[in-house]
Amino acid sequence: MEFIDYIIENKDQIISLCIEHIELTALALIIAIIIGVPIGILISYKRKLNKPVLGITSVTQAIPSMALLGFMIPFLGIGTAPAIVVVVLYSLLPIIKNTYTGIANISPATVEAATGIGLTKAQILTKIQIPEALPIIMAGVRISSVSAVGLMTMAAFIGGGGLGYLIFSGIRTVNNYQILAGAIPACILALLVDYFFGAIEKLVTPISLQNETKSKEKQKKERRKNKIIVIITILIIGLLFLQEIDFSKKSKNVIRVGSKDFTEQEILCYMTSHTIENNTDIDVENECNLGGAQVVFSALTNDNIDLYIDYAGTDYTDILKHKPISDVDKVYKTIKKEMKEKYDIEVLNQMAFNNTYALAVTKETAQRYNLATISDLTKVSNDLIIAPTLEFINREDGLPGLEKEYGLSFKDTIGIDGSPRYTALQNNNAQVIDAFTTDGLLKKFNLVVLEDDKNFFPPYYAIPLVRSDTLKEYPEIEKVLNALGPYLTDEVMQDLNYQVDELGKSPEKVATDFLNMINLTV
Amino acid sequence: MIVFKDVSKSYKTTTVLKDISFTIEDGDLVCLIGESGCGKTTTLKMINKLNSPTSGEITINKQNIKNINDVKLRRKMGYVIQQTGLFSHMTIRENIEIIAKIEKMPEQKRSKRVKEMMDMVGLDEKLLERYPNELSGGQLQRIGIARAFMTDPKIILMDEPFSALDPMSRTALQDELLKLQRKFHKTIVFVTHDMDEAIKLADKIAIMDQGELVQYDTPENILKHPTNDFVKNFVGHKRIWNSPEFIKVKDIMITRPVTCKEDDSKFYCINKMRMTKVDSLMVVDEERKLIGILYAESLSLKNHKVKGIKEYIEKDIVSVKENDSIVDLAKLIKNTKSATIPVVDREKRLTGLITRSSLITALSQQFTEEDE
Repeated sequence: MEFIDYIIENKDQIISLCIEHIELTALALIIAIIIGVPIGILISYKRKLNKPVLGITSVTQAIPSMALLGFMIPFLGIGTAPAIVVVVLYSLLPIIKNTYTGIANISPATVEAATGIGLTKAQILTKIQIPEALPIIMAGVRISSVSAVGLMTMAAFIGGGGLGYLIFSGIRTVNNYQILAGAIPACILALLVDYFFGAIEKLVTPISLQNETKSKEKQKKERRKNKIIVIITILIIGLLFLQEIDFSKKSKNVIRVGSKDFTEQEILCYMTSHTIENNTDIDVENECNLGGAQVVFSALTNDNIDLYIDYAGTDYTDILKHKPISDVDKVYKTIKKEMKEKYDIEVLNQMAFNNTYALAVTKETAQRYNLATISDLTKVSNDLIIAPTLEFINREDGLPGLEKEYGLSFKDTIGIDGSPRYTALQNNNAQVIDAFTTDGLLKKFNLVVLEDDKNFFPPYYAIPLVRSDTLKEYPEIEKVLNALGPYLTDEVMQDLNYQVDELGKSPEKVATDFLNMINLTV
Repeated sequence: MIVFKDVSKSYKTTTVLKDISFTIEDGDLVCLIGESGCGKTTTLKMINKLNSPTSGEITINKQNIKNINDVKLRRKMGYVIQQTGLFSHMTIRENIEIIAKIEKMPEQKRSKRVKEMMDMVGLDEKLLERYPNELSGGQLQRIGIARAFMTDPKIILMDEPFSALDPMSRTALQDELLKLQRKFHKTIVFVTHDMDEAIKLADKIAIMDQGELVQYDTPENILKHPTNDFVKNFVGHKRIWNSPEFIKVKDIMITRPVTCKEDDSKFYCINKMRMTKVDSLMVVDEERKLIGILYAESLSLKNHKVKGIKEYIEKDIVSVKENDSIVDLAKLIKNTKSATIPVVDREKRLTGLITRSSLITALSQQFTEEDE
């Protein structure tokens, strides 16, 4: 079984991601409880607040999680913080609602009796209302916790880590085993969490309110069992956190390398990291696979990462908002100057490869319509559906510019992110996709790349972007990366990408193997 | 002593209480009774400040309760309501000791006191670790009473505590409460809508109607002398026959029995009997103290030569007091087979007479009144 082999091979990564996932979920849930329960109590006292509060939380729940995540980036940057905030926001509704319902449903006579025998308001809350509502509150927490486990997989989308990492990279590289290696533990985790909170729920329900027909002895036994489960689980999670504290002692000589969320970027991320580690005494933390161009760039400007490898064309048109041009030299100089001025970011030397956009079609389509260049598409684009990445659709130097330049008008445009584009092509749901010239999947799916005969696509040479303050502190980075650049030609990158996407090697392994091969020393 | 002085309560448009004034003496069990919505519960809840009067004042031992801290006031009172008053997530023990625990009664004393309470209300200690929903309604109500007595408060408020119980347990609990009350002499304010319950338990009954206090009196007076038609209807004509102990000897006795003196002549006495159509004379002295009874039949059988009556006087007789109930009287008659029973006061002075016919007349009233 290949799947089992995959699991065994990557068990360390899976386990550590799993632990990370548990930590993130637990943290989010604890915060959600700390916020949600008091709000629930508050609105059960101030009934006027209950509609607006429940309304707001319901609306929050209705916002697509992706959108909420994206919205958080400008405020909280990338990484775990926005992921936790989003999961907290999604977890609030069941907790608030159940706390409110639990307390509001206690009969007024009970509360009056408590008042009548001389309990203060605080005592009524802590001794009567919360204990009586606790089973219902816990049911809410249970619902929240299960959905939080699932939702937390989204954290990987913005570099938050967790099991979602495997799912996202699996989708990107069309690696079903990787997807399963992320999804199955997440499922099991959700079930365990459900079981755990079920045990707590039973524990906090007085024996009297459990309408079970079991004998008292049995019930007591079960309670004891539940208690043990709960205590052990809490201990384990506590230990995980303790471990985390030990690990998080930061050594001073650390820089953080990030990357966008596709194979080449991941390889580059590991390659730059290891090159720096091998040739300097700086420690490197990886934040590979952060997300799209905007996400990674704002991570850099927000000081979430110190450097990443970007592409000249992306910076020139997308970030600096210039019209795409094909003058390589002018583009580079402009970027170097303006990045420093506008964002206080240093641009190092261009690397050897130019990963520009291209359009690709299957061999069959190419033969049928006799396609070799993009100009050849002009006549037949009416009949064809294009399935580009969302980024390509929205970029000036992407689809809109291309359509204008070549006079293309496709029958339909279906935005799909990542590798499912190739599947769409394979299934003939679309006939044209955008691709990167160094993309290993082009080889894997045996596609034909159409020549950019009008030189529309601007140069997309790889350029390392480094925060100025980081470079000032660690000037040795520049030398190291400038030494690495010339090794990375178009052919090399295609091959490396192919090794990951086609041969299923991990980006990190491909990167280290390559470094070992060239044996770079500075 | 709890005093209500001109207490009124009104919400925006409706008045629920109108100028209620009455005094609850220490050690009394007072029942507030009336139809639902009459304001009886509102009145009760004013004592522990669950409700506050719109005007007027309530004092406990001459201190206006407005000036007493709510929580302090309530902790000095027991409060018993229907079963909902127990907290379902707490064991019986926790329910009973909740206030004692908050008031930091030492653990040992507390646990001893809880046991005493269980004993007092006649429940097994084993129940202490159970939860309320494992107990019967009657048991729960006993627990409610135990909780109220736990901190030994002087005042206990009870809001229809027994109304949800079946008749058997209700009667048992009423008896239990009376027993406790005789022992501990708490000041108890007891809301009920059941007249029988009120008559059975109360030292005084306050009858309320549409927010007004219609009559505040002892059960006996309320039964015998209802102030108006509302009370009369509320109490019911024949209610008193449900509580025959309230019918006293003085209510049915012949108030002016025919008497004679010890030294009257036989002839005089026989003549007197004939004139007044009685078959016996009460023999009294100058101070109307009872000496004996002279029966007509004993006179006729005796020697004609004797002029006086002294030797004919039956001195071995039973007598009753005015305030004895007809229940006692009936028992007495059954035991002695005597047809004529004199009524005397403490100094043995004759005040009236019960004869078999007067008893029958009284007892038959409950059937004849029906036709009125």
